[in-house]
Amino acid sequence: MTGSFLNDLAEHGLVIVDNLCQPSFERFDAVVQDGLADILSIDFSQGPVVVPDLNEKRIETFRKLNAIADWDKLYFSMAQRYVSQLLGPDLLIQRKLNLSIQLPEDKTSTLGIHADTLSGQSPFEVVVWTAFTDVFETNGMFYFDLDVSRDIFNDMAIHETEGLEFLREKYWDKVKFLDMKKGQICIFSGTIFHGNIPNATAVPRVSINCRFKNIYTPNGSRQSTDRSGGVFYRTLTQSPVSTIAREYLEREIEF
Amino acid sequence: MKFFSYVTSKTFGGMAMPVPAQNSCMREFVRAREGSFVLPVLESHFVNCFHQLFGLLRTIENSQAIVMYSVTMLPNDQKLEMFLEKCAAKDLKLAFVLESFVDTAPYKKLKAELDNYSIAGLVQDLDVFLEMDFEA
Repeated sequence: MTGSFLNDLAEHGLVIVDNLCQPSFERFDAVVQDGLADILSIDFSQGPVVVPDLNEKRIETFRKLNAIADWDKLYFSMAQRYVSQLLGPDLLIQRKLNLSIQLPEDKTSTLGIHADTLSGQSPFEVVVWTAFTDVFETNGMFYFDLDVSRDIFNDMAIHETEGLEFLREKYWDKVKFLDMKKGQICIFSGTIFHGNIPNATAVPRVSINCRFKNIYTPNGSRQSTDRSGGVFYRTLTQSPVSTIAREYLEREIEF
Repeated sequence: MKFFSYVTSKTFGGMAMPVPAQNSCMREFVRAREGSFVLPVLESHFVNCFHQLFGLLRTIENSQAIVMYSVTMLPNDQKLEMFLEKCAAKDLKLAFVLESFVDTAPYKKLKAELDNYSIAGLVQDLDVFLEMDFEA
């Protein structure tokens, strides 16, 4: 990816950018480093290590991240210019930050190939995925470009009884992996197929993701009700025009 | 025994149940049976699409269980037959929270439950039939 931010996103469905607000990143990173210190200090170079309390630490850190005051504004600040450029001034944000930990050779934390939109997420949203460790090869996320994702989508029905994993294997020679430095941000469309496979590197990966979309995007019949505004998202920003319009619409008058 | 869970954001059996609620119910169901809960796969929203359910059959270990909220989340007709054949080939157990049972191949209990729903559907159809205005 060497073009402009918008061109890269339009062409690939995914773009990697530098973090726009280091202090915000450090707020989240402090919680991650504190909550996962025992795990991140393990030497995995000699082979896989089973961490028995991995899930407990994951849940505890997840709760602490979501308990940070104004976490939504802080998270937004790390990609504000990009998200605003893509989605405009009226924004919804997912109600919770998601935390992902991918330890070397840990098969229990893999998330199979999927596109978020298949399960009812809005195609108008973007995922903002932040690396809290270096991300490379299989410790990160695999993805397929927009064009390949479209081919996979069109192939889904005839391969229904073989499952999506079959399609991952079929298109595997076209796969790409994220390559990011700690602190960088990946912004991608929920329409591209992505997932992860067991981390064959000796480096654990920690990332946080959260979804954004414009308030006025259509839900449509394909969007699941439990992925709609109010349930899945909350209002993050609102333009002055929206404020004026909402006040106007709330007026009651009878003649 | 491991219970591999399966959820959907589609309506089923006349219900719309948020995915987190399905998740919580399944966790409780598995805990009560002292099983090991495996995080759910989420079905795609397309009508009559079950590729995540069939995909789960590829990865699940033999003799384990698939748990979902209700039998009404299963496919119908040929897809159901194919699904049950594949389950039997792997000696899988099938567990359902709402109907509160765990079944093993050849899944007689499951088929009986599905028949119950089919009969209930007939009754509902009859209501519609009786309310039809044949004079119009």
